[in-house]
Amino acid sequence: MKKMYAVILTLCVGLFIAGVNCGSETTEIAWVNGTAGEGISDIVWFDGNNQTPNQTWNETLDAAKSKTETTSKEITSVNGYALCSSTLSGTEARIYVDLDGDGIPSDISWRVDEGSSNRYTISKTE
Amino acid sequence: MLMFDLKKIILPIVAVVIMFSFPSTIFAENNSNLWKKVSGIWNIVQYNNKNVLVQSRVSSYPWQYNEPLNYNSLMLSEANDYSLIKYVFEIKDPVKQVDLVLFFNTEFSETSKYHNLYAFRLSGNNARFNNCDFFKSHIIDTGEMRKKKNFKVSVLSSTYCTISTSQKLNCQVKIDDKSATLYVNDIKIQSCEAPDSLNKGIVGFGVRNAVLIVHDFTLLKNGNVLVHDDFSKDNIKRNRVIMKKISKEEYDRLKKQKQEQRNK
Repeated sequence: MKKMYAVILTLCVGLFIAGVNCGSETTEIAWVNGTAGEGISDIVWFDGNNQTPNQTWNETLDAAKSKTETTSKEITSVNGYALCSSTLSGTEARIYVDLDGDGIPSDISWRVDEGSSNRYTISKTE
Repeated sequence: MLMFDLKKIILPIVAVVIMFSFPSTIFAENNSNLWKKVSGIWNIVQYNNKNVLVQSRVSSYPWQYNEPLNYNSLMLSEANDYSLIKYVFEIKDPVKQVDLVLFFNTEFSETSKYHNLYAFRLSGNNARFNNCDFFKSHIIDTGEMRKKKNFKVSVLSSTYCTISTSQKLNCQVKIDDKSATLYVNDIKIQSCEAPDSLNKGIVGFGVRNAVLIVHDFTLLKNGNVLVHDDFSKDNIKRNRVIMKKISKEEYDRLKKQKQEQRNK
């Protein structure tokens, strides 16, 4: 009987640890200045469902200041879209992502794999 | 025979005279980049069997790089010399404090990315506008163009008003050198004097905490139409950024490449 309790207890502890580990997986995004990221500031990741800001990167990509990428930050909403401000044009710009590399950017919102660490490089501003 | 010859001579002359009488008239049909989106979501949609311009994002994001960016704003792409600006608006889904801003004398240059401007701002709740400000925005430090909050907004004049937001708003801004007057549905709301001439620059408008429907826009100088848009077509330039997702391996390779370039 004692053995059975020990087995059940071990299983419960194992499940608890597994659960905690699953829950602690963070989803992260960093933005890299590729060929056209000059003057991109304040990238904001919006929750795709309620349109509210989910994460902000208050950094300006500037190669002259060796600022070629933002810090990697956690996002809690995996389905969303991003906006940024361009200090060169004085306007806000929508970020579109070419997810499969075919040259055609995705629709406004996209999904990030839960628990993944993602880097997006700026290939074109227009 | 003589009549035929006269027609041949007179008609081209009349055509040339007409052409040069309105040298700067821009009609929306001929210009796909007539407007520039500063912020917000601006689209041409069908409404009551007619195409209109709709700004559909209710909230705005406080970017703090220039005043128009703090609203959902649209600007004409080019500067003009004008005396009258006419707009036909409708406010929908207002929440909390609603602001409708009419920008003019806006400067876009190496030393002002929409930092320098004058504007009328109608503010109120979800039922009516009850205040009208005339304000000036100007850049603080031209050497720090990428800096946040590098502009100062000063309210030059403020007045009480009562304008229902549930009606169609025919707004007119009359400019006479340094003086600007705002009329809404033919009622004079406010007349103000500025320290600078107001009749040159970029013209635009913005909204905060409401959906905005724009039916018509006309820019005139001494009765001559400079710009007219009935929004039957989409004439808005929207800036966008294209990004590519990169793998960890590709990222490490790029980082190594950049480091090598720096070391050289």
